[in-house]
Amino acid sequence: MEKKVKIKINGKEFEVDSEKSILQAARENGIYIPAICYSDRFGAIGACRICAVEIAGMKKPMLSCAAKVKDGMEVTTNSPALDQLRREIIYEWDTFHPLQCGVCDKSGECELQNINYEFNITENPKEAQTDPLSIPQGTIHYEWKIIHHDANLCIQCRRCVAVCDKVVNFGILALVKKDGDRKEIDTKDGKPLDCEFCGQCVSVCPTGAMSSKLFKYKARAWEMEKVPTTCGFCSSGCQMDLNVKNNEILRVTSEEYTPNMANLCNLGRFNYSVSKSDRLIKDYSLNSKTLNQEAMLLELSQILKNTPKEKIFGISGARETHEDNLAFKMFFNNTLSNNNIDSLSSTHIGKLYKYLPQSVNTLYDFSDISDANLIICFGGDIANEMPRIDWSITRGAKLLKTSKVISAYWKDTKIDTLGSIPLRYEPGRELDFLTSFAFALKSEGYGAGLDGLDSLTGSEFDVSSIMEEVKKASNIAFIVCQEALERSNGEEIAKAVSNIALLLKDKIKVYASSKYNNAFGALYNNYGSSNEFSIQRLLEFAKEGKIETLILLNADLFSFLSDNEAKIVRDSVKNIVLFDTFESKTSLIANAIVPVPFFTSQSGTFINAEGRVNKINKAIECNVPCAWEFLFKLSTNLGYNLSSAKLQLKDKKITLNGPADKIYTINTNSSVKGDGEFVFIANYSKFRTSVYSGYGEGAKLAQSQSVLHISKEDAQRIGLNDGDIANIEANGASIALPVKIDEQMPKSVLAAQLWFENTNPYNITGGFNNLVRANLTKAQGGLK
Amino acid sequence: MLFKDLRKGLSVTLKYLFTHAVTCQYPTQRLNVPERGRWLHALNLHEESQKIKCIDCGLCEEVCPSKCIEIIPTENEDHTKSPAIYNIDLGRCCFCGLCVEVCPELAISMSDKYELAGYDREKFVFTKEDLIKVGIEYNNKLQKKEGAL
Amino acid sequence: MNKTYVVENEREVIVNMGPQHPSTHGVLRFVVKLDGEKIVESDPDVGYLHRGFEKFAENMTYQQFMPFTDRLDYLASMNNNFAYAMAVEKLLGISSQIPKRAEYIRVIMAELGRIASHLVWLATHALDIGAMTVFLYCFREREYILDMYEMACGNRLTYNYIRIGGVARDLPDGFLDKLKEFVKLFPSKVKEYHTLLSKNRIWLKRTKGIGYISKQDAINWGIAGPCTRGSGIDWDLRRDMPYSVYPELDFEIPVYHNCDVYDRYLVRMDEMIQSNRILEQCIEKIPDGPVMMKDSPYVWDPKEDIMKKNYALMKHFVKVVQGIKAPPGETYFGAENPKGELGFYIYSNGEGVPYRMKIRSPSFINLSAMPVMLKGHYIADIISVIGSLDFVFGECDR
Repeated sequence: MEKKVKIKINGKEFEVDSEKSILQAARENGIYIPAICYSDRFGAIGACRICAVEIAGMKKPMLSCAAKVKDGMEVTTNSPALDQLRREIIYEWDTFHPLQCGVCDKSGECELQNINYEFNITENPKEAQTDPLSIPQGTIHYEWKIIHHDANLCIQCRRCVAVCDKVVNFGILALVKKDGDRKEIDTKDGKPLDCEFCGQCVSVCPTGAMSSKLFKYKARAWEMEKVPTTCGFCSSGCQMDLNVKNNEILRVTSEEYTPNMANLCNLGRFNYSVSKSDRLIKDYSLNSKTLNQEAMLLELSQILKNTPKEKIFGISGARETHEDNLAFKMFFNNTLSNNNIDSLSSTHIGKLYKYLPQSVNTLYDFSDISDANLIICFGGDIANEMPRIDWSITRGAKLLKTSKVISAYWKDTKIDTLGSIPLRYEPGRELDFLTSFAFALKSEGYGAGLDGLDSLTGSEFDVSSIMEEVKKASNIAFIVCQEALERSNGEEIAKAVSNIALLLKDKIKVYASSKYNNAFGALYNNYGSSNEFSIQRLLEFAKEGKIETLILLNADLFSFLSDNEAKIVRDSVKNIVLFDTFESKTSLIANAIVPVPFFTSQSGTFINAEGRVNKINKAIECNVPCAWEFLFKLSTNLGYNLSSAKLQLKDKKITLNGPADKIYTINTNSSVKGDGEFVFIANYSKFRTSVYSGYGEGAKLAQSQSVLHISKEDAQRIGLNDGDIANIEANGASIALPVKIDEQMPKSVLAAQLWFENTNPYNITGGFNNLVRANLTKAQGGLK
Repeated sequence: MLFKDLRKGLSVTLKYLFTHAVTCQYPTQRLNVPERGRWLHALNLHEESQKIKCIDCGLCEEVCPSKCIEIIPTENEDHTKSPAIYNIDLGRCCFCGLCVEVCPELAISMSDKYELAGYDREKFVFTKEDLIKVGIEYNNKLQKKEGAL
Repeated sequence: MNKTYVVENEREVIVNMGPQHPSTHGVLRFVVKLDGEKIVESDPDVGYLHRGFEKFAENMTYQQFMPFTDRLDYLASMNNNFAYAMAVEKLLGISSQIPKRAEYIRVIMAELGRIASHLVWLATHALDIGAMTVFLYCFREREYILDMYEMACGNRLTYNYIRIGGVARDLPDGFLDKLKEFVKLFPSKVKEYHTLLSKNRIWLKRTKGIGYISKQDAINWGIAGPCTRGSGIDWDLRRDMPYSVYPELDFEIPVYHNCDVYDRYLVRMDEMIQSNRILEQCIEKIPDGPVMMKDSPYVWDPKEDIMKKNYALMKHFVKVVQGIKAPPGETYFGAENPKGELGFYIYSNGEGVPYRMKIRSPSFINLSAMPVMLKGHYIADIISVIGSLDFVFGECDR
């Protein structure tokens, strides 16, 4: 419990927490103090000074955003002197502010407009005294991508600088000196903006200085209707509002009271044009012939009736709503009487939660990460996997200064700029770190009395640098990234992680990251519980002729298998029935295609990595029924009526089942496939959670193709420069990628991103694996 | 007595038999619309560049009580804003003049054309080109009047 | 609508004077139970012109709602604008800050509106009873008024001229001269109407003793305006609950005591003369000065400011889009309209649009007293009584 103090504001007495600032205390009790540059997201900046209040006993007014409350404080929020002070500040902002309200996109929600109205400004003595020719024209950055900056409209509150630095931890913006005593917001190095394009600066700017180019001049702020929904790109489950006009999404905003504190990533904020992409599937088709819904139901019923029930298999892409996901399972379990289903969650988090004991597998909120004393981020670049966890780590380490960060990975990543303790293992040797850590914990006395404790052995990896911190900490957040779990020895990694979790049982909170937005929903519905079939055995079953009809729900075979493996599946399976929203390489080879709506055109729920059941609401009309409606009609045709009442989820938060407490024996014989000079890793880009996420403008402009990250020395050795094409071969296949020199890459390691249209890295690594030894050569000629 | 009340009334009406008629013989004779007359809308152009004054601030659309204005904006090459589509549905318009009052650019004004009857309801939607034509005619007329004074 | 009327004995007949009828002054449906030609029971049925103004008011900003008030009593639109503007000004607390010239212009417009409305009343009342000439003569006089209105604001029937905080534009040159001519000409015309009607035996037979409502009944039923002054109640809001510049003007309130149609006719004829008198005084007393409040957060800024000053443009956007933020509270204001007391009850919860607006319409309340006035009369008397009550359906049904 925090200490409470008594303060007086405008004569009334209130009791507030001792850690709050005066502004926060006033806001909690409904008292209004004007403030422009303060936000709970990044704390006090003190640039605008309009929140000044008078405190009894102090000569000068104090800034209420920064001053903390003290017992017995007496605050006056309004007086003639304060009013005059505030007016002076507003005159300063209004001086030569261009008369652009008519064209500026911020009109209607502009804080400068509101504050001019509130104070009823009827004159500007500052402007009358200043010579207009002495103020040079501010720069308008037309050349930046996605974000538009007009320095003439800026009131220099530095909110964009604060949010980029303290919330996003990228820190590219700064108040830069320009010629003639003028200061402007610009990038620190002066080059055109090249950042995460998350748009936090746009969302936080009080005027129209920072705005979105994708929304420029499209509509006025008051014309659009806001539909609250949950983002459907990754399993962060950020809450956002789709701004809709005339059945079209024109932009995306978010509010500060949401769990993600109005923060959205590039995909959430700028990628909404994917909902009206011309690559949406519009018609039902069977063997390239277009049909209507009734004909499709009849044909599909025929196909399913003619297939023996045990030869029908289903894969869920873990991207559909909870209702669709559960309906798919009910269809297989009840109508088709088999359990031949699995989902793409089984390639990563499915492995973890199979072994993580019930006592430590609670799903916690991300805000708890910011309150942890120690954050251990293992196995991946969390900023590229789930931005929301990255922001929570930044908030804990940089803003609230409560957390220390340990980053366990094979290279430096974004969270290392927070002053972390690095633990670098070689890529593919995750188990070295995990087993050493577990052994060290056992040596310190953790986990006494657990079943199987003696089987723990260590390795040469040195974890002594972190043991002090681990012992001191009372609240540890352990984040397991998707990249580690997707390794071919992912099951062993999962077992090792669950050992660590069990040893630190009372003070650890385990978080798992997933780029599939409903992966946790698929886990909750017990996908991957079949003893016979699992997604990793898809190829095996197909080759043995056990699959005659394969039903895919929002799954793209080419997004988790190599091109050859997908072809093998295609050739071995008689009928592929695809339920999907977007055209993909799988839709070109499927027999029957059933369109399903995108998350912006559907009502339902997603379950995110916090275990929260998040609602999505229909924002734009589309004439395609949901997958569960179609499946229920199909089921009725096949003679079994499914009840939609079972699809409802009443809980707000879910819990997963897990096994009993047990320490697992780890098999550390990890055989890295392939031979070659380099280690090649297929990991993730911040700008793609799937192939179709690249169909939207925001993602395409941010990064249009997968690039090969290589260290400087290796590039110089082979003679590669930025932009050259390189060929990487392994396992008899090869892919071609443009090169990007990355100073943080270790020697002899290469990395490329999945789910871009220019190449499929699974071609050389093979499906269900993301690490292989490969050879690198420079490609002759230009792009293939 | 002797129908005095009726005789008195008749004398009043008989008097008017010999005075001027007060009616105006429309359509051969048309009365002048005063300068402030609020009739058909007109979109104005800049004098030198002949570009449309409207910058699509959206105020006329928002203030209209009948919601009869529809605007779709577009960005020009020199990064200025102008309407690609500007429709006024005269079937809904109540000729209150609020759109003229809020315009910050003097881009819209009301001319003196009041003969707006038509056979087709769809033809009541006046597009940007129609309104610009009305504007050119009306502004020429005003300039001629000013020149004559 | 689903009310059933029951006939008590064989002599009784139920007749429907349907919403489409040339003499019902709008869309009034009147159901009468007749015994031969005598009225036993009568029941007005209203709502055919309901347009949902009170619901609109919950979504329109205060300035944006002005054109709607035009369409309440469309024969005297200026008076409706006036009443609404005064109600909102009372809510905002700026009633004493309206410039003097604006107040005088408002009174001029309101009194012209009163004359215009009474002219239509006389025209249609006389026409329904049978005197067609009076109809044309009254409309001839009304043209003078409508021409003056068109000069000032641009429209002939729905003006949208009065604003919260003043009037939209100053009077044009030549307006006061035209007004002077009208004021000189008008009393002789009213004398002509008196000559044609007041002593005419047909008129007296059709209007004297008809439509009797006693003084106590008039108070009980809540009717207001000329109808009560014809029943002997000496009450006029302009004198008894004064607003605007009426305390500075000198005028009489005509009151007659016979409580029938003829007396109500006399009240209104006298009111026209009194309005003329008020207009004469206003022409003398009107001062120079601004016509709109300056630098107020409740008033749209003038065009030159919006086009040149950035703070004015910013405030303009907030005022138009979000609306003027009235302080939370409620208010009621009643004004003396030609047809009675038009009242606006506005409840605001601090936003730019009212939370609830209730319009007390005089026609609705006056119409409710019709069954009392028709007891024991013949069916032809319905027309006389309708004429004397002078209701307009735009106002009655809102």
